[in-house]
Amino acid sequence: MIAAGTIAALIAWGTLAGLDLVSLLQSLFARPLVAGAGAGWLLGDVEAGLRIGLVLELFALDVVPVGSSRYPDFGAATVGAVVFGAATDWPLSLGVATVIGLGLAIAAGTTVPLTRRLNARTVRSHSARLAVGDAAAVSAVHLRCLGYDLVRSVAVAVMAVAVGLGARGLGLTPEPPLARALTVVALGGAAWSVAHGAMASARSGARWRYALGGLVAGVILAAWP
Amino acid sequence: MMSDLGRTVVRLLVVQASWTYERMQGVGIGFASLPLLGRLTDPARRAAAVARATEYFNAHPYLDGIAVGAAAKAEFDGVPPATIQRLKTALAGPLGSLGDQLFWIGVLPAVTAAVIIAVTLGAGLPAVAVGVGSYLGIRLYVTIWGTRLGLESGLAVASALKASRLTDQVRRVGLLAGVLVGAAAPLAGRWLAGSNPGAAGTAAFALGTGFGIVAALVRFRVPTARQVTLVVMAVVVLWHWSV
Repeated sequence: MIAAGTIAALIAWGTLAGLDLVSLLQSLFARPLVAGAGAGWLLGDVEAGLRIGLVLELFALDVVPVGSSRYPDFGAATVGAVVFGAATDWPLSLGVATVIGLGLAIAAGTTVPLTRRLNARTVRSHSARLAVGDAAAVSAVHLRCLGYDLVRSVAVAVMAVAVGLGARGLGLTPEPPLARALTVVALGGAAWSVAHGAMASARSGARWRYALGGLVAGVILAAWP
Repeated sequence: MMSDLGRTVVRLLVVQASWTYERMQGVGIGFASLPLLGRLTDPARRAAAVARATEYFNAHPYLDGIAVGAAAKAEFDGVPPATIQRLKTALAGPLGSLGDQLFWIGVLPAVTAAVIIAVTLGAGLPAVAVGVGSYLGIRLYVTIWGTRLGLESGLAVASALKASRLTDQVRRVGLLAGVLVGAAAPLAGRWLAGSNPGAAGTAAFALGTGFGIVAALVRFRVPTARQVTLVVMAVVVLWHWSV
């Protein structure tokens, strides 16, 4: 049972992550590793937050958030996944948590174009005042659009936490063989994603070589007893 | 009382809130420019400058301050409107490309990968906090620096940007990001696969890494790893239920 205060804090954290995606700062709060760590801390299970956040972060590293492109919203989605996976046996719940995180991220990502359409409608309705340089109209339009994204972020955070709580309440972690199989698939997919992201963004020969050099160094470090 | 520059910097932190497909960052740029343009005492000139500032513009959000500062300086200097518009048009593409290269595929993956490495080596939550703090510091510094650079140089902003050697950092940061992401992946694999699910998890991670590298090498137009993962999971569940 998660306390109401903790649920409210998780929604607030998910909202900050949602705003950080486009409207506010665009820093690291929307990143799964950060969102997951924060959610894990709020739920008293930092380990689960870090592990679920890290798997989803590997998926997110294949995404470049260029202005007009459409991309998943991983922030609140990760919070929802951690709500499900906290205080569980993580090797068994990691696969299902990844499904929840990816599904929520894709669903939440579809809400960004909706707010952009609302933005466009607001801008068009004020176009005459914007054309004459009405400073009050500029501020009103911008702050109203910021309000749309706040509403979007709250809605996405509520949805994510509700899905996490629902999956947790339903005890969606399957029996061990299937749960482990899903975790293995999640790890393979995450590795595919980060490797593709690293290599696809390596446009110069030098960056390719450096990335491969880093990979070799990482393998040696990982193999170290 | 915060200065005009300070208020512009704060507004630049929310510059993309009113992003649309028509004006893109235009209204956000206008909103961020308002404190600076308030220095224009002639109401007609100020209104014309605000109207120009809200027109179509798009660049990397971290580097928008350069364009905001440069356009504001040009307005103060009484530069003809067509020249100011050309300045913004000329800045948009390069600032967008430079920012994407430097931050989206440079600093951001580098800092994230450094945090991943630290977490997998046992640094835990403090590593995440340090990563967030460092990145926020870079974000704020670049925004303040860029706005000052634009305000000081006006129409000469392109030369000032070149002299700042910011463009030289793209290659260095890109190489650093390459090394760190490359190193982070296997460490993350070991940390996540661990003793359980163990060998199967490690094998899946290695196989996935290979697929990812090959897919990027041949520029194979496959669905994203996210989509493939969800489909494979569905197949696994259906297969499990059927036997």
